[in-house]
Amino acid sequence: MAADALAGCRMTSSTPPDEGLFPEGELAQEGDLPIWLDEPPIGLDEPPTGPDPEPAPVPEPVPERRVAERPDPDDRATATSSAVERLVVGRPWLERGHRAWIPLEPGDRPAAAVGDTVTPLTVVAEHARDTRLVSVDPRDRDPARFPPGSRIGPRDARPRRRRGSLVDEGTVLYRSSRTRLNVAVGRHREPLHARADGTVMAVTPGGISLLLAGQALAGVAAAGRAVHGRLRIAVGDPGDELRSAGLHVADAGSIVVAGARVDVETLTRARALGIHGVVVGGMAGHDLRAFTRSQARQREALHSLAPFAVFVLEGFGRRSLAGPPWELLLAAAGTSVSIFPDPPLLVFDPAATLPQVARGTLRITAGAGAGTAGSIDGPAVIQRLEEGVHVLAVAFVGGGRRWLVPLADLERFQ
Amino acid sequence: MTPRFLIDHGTATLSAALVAHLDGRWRLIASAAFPAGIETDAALAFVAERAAGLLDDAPDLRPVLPVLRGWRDLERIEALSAPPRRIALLAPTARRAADLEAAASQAGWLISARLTPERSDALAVSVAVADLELDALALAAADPPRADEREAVADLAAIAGAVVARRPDLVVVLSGAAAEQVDRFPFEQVVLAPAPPPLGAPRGGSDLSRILMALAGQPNGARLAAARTASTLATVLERTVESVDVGASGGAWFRATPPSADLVAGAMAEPDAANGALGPMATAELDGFLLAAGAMVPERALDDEEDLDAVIAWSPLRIDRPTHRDRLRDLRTRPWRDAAGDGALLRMAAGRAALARIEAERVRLGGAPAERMRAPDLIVLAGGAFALAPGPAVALAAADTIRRLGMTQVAYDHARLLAPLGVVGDSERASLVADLADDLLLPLGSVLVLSAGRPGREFGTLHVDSEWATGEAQPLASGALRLVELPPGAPARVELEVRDGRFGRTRARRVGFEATGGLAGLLVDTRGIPLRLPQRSERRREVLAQWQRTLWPGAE
Repeated sequence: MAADALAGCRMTSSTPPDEGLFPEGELAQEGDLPIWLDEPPIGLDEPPTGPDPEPAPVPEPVPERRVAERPDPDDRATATSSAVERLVVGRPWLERGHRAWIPLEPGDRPAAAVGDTVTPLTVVAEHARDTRLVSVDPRDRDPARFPPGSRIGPRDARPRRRRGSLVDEGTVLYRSSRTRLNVAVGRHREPLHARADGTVMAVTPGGISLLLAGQALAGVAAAGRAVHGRLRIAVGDPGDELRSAGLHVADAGSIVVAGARVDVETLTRARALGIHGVVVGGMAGHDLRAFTRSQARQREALHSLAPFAVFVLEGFGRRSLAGPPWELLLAAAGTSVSIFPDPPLLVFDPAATLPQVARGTLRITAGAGAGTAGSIDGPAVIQRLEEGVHVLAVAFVGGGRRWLVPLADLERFQ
Repeated sequence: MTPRFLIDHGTATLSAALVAHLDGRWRLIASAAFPAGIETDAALAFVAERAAGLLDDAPDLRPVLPVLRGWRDLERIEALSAPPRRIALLAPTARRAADLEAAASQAGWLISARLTPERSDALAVSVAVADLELDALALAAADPPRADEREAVADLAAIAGAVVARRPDLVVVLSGAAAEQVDRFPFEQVVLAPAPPPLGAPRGGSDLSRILMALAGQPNGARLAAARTASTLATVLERTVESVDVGASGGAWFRATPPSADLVAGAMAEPDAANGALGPMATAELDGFLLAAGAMVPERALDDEEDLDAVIAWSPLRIDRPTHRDRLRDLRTRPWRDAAGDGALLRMAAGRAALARIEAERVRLGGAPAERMRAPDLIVLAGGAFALAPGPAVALAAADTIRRLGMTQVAYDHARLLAPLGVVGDSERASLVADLADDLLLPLGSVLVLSAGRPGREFGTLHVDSEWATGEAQPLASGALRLVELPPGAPARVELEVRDGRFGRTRARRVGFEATGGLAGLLVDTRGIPLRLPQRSERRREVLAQWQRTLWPGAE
């Protein structure tokens, strides 16, 4: 039957026209097509503004019956509010048990072993800067003597007449033959700290894995190196943008909360002032890339500055921290926090008392009213919006108002 | 037979459908899509309730109603698409690295580094291989190795082996003569594979890419499962089917050619003893690839603004470039969000750019250029990128990017059934596809693509014969997009008369086609192959908006 129904299109020379994909008469059968095709177009009460990041204006109040009138009477897909809430994507909130990596480069020497308990100031590795590769003919040519990652000093190497002999202690990178070890040697060495309380879970050539003891918040992006410091709120409102003039010398050593957005100039000044890190709602992608490049240049410099990191919590562009994130940061102000770039994590002091978000709290993340917390007030229905797209939407009540929100633009704190 | 759920767990969306056996055949009762990450049971409860609501109105479907009350116990057929795995590629020469990259990328791997001694020193290789996000590394050489490869392969193996020995989670693929270096790696982590075929070899698939596909975990993945269903569809319908999938984490292109009539007749005469269905001889020939870079916004775009700008080139939005890029980055990190308003247009632009990327990759991997490609009978679009957009706009996106000379019907896998159907056994799938064929795909329309020189030149006439069309011959000018109303399922006969007596590489003055209607009707597209867009961004936006205006009226 189907072979007759699905004709496809083909060039015809002798064959008669075939029936269509959906032969006439079958098209209108319920179940053959998605039922939303028959629904009338229904627009959002406020035109969506995209992920605009400015604390999006909460829409004007609308009469409650407006939403109630709109759902298509044919669409009887209804559910209780709690059932609908389960259709909202969950946002992991403060969680314990996160893992973070402290990246290592060739020539770096781990100083911690699996199972070690660490604190923010524990030295977990020694970082080699300005690394170069030296070929070494070891005195002891037993292949088991110098495995990759082991240390080798000038006394372990046979003297070489030409340039390039080992004058400092180095780390064996690989062995290319019985008589040739390739050793990574750094001109300068500096300690790498754990930057948070936790336990060492793995030590690999690429990094050290830490199981963090404190609660952590996952972000969208981060750049720089792991840091820790006292949290300070540098803006008066979660929708504000921190400018370089808003930074003070007194902030040195702290991690500042920069509001909805920060630019690369402010980050550069913060780093120069000795601030350890910045927590921000959003950041332009090109600023983040520029900052990452700047950090790389800093690391290559002869006298590199102290570690510095930026942690982006909500998204790219301008993003308000309004709602539970702001309340959390206000509560954590003055306590010690850490930023890990890989993966992007903001880690709180294990001893800190942090406000809990009521389980199931809902918040709008995009479009009109972004940042507003509230609750669902009605069934989920598939709606055809003014621009012709079909989305699963719900009536949402928040900030004393009620309007229609695409389900995918909501998040549920877990 | 009790109803069952077909579930497609995408990386951005979860799609659930309920099918039931009614009146002697399987039928789609209800479906819906949700953001990924919600509880599957919540989604299924919604779909079951939705189905129950529909069944109330359809007396013939009421027998299913009592069964739906126990929806938790219904059978679930699930397909899962996982984020692509990462691989670092090591080769002694840039040419060999390109061959290896082609094999890995068409197997769905995300290429994290491409390393050759010509361009990377030992420290750089060591850093790349130690990358903590890496799942595998592949080292390749010709077999037998060329003189300039032998020493370099040994060096690369030494560097990689030093890291792999301390990374027990890393898989090492030694391809071609690189297998000689097997002693440098822990035995249990090594997979030996044949040498990569030269890039652009006529047949895209190779033994190496099949091994890499298996290592990537793709055989159980949703995209390959969907390709299997496309192949079954081609067999059942006896039509050539191209399926293109664009999702949040990757994409895929497959072409299934039905078996010849002789093979089918032979198979029907001797059904497979095991399953009673058509024997293996009667399955469609399947060719194609998976592509991590075929994602709506590929991961590399987070760092590579060229990729973002390629998407922006398809966007009709009038916003500044940095904001545009940031919204695309957000689309990558939270692909389910911001689906209304401008977000819908941006998503469609990303979908178009992904289709164009997949098409470019198809040619790079050795496929025929679009102008020499025979039009398939049916193009099936799939994936979350098109889930929310109006059907006509999706048809236009296909016409803009998958350009095949001639007439093609375009349909969309609206309920995301292709992937879960690809998980079941061959004979059961054939039976399900045969039953569900009418419900499986949403007919978007037919596209007639013609190539006829400089814009504005009249090159022939078009005559559409259907119940809805005028029936008069209309002049055809190149460089235009014309919409002929043709409702879904409506058949039409299209006759084309070309003045110079050439249709592609065929000499013919009059050419006839069958067309089938859809949400977009019949699109007569004389914009040429490949589609050329103005270079200046403002002009380009105007042209795109103009084309889109007809098919997506609410977009502006």
